[in-house]
Amino acid sequence: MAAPILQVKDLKTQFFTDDGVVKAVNGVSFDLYPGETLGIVGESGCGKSVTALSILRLVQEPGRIVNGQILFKGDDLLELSNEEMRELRGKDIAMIFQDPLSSLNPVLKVGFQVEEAMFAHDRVNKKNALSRAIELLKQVRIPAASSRVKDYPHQFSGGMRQRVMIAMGLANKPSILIADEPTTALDVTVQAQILELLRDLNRDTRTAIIMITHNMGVVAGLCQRVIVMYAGQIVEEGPVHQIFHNPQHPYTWSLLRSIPRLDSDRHDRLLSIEGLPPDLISPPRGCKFNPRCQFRIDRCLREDPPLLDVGPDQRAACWVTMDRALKHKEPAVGG
Amino acid sequence: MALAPGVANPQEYVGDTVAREQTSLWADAWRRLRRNRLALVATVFIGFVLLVAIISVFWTPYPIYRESVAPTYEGLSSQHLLGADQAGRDILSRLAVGAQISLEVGVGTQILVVAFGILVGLTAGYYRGILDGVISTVINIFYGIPSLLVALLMVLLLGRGLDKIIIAIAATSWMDMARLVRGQGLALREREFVEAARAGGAKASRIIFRHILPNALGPIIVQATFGVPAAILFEAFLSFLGLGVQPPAPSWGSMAADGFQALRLAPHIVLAPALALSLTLMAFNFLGDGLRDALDPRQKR
Amino acid sequence: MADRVPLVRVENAVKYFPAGLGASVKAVDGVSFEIYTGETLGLVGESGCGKSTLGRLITQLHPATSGNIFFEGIDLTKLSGEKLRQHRRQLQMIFQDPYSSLNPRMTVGDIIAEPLENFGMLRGKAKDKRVQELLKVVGLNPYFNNRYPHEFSGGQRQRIGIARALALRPKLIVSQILNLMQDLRNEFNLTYLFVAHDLSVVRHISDRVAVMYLGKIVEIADSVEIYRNPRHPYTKALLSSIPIPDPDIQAQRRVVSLAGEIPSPVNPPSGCRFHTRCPIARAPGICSETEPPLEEKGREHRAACHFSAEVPAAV
Ligand SMILES: Nc1ncnc2c1ncn2[C@@H]1O[C@H](COP(=O)(O)OP(=O)(O)O)[C@@H](O)[C@H]1O
Ligand SMILES: Nc1ncnc2c1ncn2[C@@H]1O[C@H](COP(=O)(O)OP(=O)(O)O)[C@@H](O)[C@H]1O
Ligand code: SF4
Ligand SMILES: [Mg+2]
Ligand SMILES: [Mg+2]
Repeated sequence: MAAPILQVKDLKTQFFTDDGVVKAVNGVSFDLYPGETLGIVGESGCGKSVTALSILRLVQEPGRIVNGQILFKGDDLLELSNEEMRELRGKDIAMIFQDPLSSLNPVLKVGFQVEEAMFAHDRVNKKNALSRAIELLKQVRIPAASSRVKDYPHQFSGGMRQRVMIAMGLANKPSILIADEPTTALDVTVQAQILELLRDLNRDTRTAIIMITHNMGVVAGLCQRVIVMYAGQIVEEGPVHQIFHNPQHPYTWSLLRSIPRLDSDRHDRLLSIEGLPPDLISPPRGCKFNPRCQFRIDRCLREDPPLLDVGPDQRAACWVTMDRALKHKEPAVGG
Repeated sequence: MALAPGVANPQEYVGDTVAREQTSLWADAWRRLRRNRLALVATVFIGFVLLVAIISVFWTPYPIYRESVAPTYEGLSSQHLLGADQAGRDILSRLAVGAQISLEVGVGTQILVVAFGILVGLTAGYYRGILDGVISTVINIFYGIPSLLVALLMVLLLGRGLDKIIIAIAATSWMDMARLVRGQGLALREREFVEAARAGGAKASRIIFRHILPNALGPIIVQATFGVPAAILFEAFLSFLGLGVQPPAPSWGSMAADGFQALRLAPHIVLAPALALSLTLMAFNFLGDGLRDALDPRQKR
Repeated sequence: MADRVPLVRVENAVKYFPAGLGASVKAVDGVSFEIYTGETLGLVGESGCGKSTLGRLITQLHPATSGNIFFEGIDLTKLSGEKLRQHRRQLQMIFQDPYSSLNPRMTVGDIIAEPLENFGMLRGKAKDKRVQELLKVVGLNPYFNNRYPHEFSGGQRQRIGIARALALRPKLIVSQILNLMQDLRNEFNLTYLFVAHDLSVVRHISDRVAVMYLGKIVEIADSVEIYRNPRHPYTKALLSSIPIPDPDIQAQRRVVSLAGEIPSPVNPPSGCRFHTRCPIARAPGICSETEPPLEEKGREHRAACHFSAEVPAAV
């Protein structure tokens, strides 16, 4: 496999609030390879968005990155000047958010905003700006793109706005596109279209995609590799097949079990994961998942399990899994 | 999750069982206000002005109307801390009583404005329809007439007593409040908790007074706080023009007007009321800002 | 299961909202169906199709523009004032947004007690006791009754809203959230109209499912049947859009992409409202000219499509 394009190493991001220090991201490390689609999943509040914002150094006060390295093509982004970082955002790494309306300027025409996104890094070919903007909008399958460039954001539906955001994200052919819950606010029918679009764009442009979502179905349809986060940490990581068919962390397993499925029997009671995610100001000792874990052993209450290899390309952070993996070379909680 | 009715073990309830200090949004706002240094200083200053005003009801260093307690145009001295005016009256004493007048005008006006604004604004905002149409038209008409004209007419009609001045100023400044309350009413009546209350059988009066008004109170308080200095300034302005409270009552405005003729000779006669006025206006504005930040739920993390 | 006694009967319900210049948003445009005593009826469709409005019509939070809504045989649209207030107790709504549905200036205890006070049902100690019982029922600590909504998480607030809705012991609940529904159904003898856009969830808890499109019900059937054998192309498209959390299945599935966007409810398309996006439409033709009636396509299975036989089966 090629060298990773992005390496996050022991990232720690904290919020210094009146109530205490929120350890939102607590020692996250992962690699992203060129052209791949990586999913980051987990319940809301587990630190997915803060991880993404940290990569782009967009964490707002009272938040601060307190530790780690973010290597993009070998350079540590945390060492760059603000100016260099601004240059890199959008050009090399683009990001789209859940709510496209708040990211678009309501008083400027959509076409103009797409052009702006292009010019932010490339002032050369202003002449072709409009045709390039139209081309981009066509690429994200906005019907009648050449007339719609003159419309304002409120004249677009939610799905169309998200397409515009994707077009702007792709304007400078970035090598990484980070999508933070881009379909959460959309209807399933529109979600399906956006996912199809992202899939095709990834295939055609080889832009690596980090897809942040709490929807396992979205991950299943789009991603090659998956990271599962819990309470600011990665608890499991692996190829999508392994994660879905052979989960090695009890949290991943519960997560998969708790989703209603269209293809399973009706009137199964929906099994929700018992309890609530921990308070990130004073998380539990040992494994952060231990209060909700059905498999916990004494060690879980005392020590935080490290993320270790449990199979080919698969890593999990669980004492039980590790014990069993050593003893029987068998999955602990298989799917 | 164990949800069988009658779960006895508190451990099984959802959420924390740790005893925490119970906080209402008001308590929360107060906590935030206390942390705002500027607002705190402003509050202390307003408290000081209030104290001076109250003391001056019972005692002033010199009788405020007696002339020639000092040489005319006397500067600052140990007997007359702020000097004396053209008639030889003690400025400090008059300033203290002026504080009384200013606060009464400021607060009195806003009490009227709030009461009337809530009545009119909630009626328009909650009932909408024709009532709203009529009220909104009246509001717009009042906006169209210059304030000074309304105040002048009122003073001519009613006379120049303090209570009349208060009514006159309120008559020129109720529209902002009415419009604010109307907007709040329109917005809040569409909120789901109002719908839920209706589903639960709540009658109109309950919806208005338990659901809409308490939630509109924050913006109302902020607006009224900003309204106080506006009213004080307007009164001072009227008095400066000789249209305010009847002389020789020591309104800060008329004191400044008195000193104006001798600005070169004895600037302290103008400066004392002017400074008192600016500081008071500033204090109320900072307090208003502080209240706005403290009461705005969007600020809550 | 349901003993087939209709608790609610909706007949040709219509709700138009004025949209300026004489135009109107046809949010609900002539729907008829029943909700049987004891059942859970799921109501699905894309956002803006009129689900919430229909829920509000049934609970009488909005007056209907026309049509009738019978509850236990009584036409609620004919009632007003105190009579309506008394009948409406039986129909409660659980709101979706846990933030805007609770008055931030009231304590949780007061919020739950309010309906009881409105009908003068309980006073003093007895009222407090009932409030604490209700808190317990929804799994919240009964001693939290003097706290304020903002001290709770989103999920906990939803539970507070549920406790409030249960206070009057209603017979029908229109719910926009899943939380606790399964637990309370038998305990309180409830009949549900479950409003949601997530079909995979609806399927799990509903006995029957109704699918809405642009203010109309386009299909209504038993929930096993509708997933196995959808008779309307829109239902089919909705079903195929839901991602299945299995990478292998997901790789093989074909999404029925709907062309274009949802048309405006101010000017819905002629004939079948779905014809502008329908993959099997004959338009121009019968689909753009004649509105298909909602009619029997199988046992207890109604759909509104001229070509329902052509809709491919199963997911
Ligand atoms: N501005 C902030 N101030 C304090 N805490 C924050 C802030 N932003 C996020 N957090 C906390 O960081 C944690 C992770 O949040 P986030 O990354 O947004 O979660 P998600 O996985 O849902 O995207 C949460 O517990 C959240 O409360
Ligand atoms: N109070 C209202 N005033 C005007 N239009 C409304 C109102 N409520 C809903 N609508 C419109 O009616 C249509 C249906 O809305 P709604 O019932 O909320 O749909 P859903 O719940 O299926 O998302 C939408 O076009 C919406 O904009
Ligand atoms: S009636 Fe025609 S347009 Fe409507 S759903 Fe059926 S085939 Fe499609
Ligand atoms: Mg997030
Ligand atoms: Mg809705």
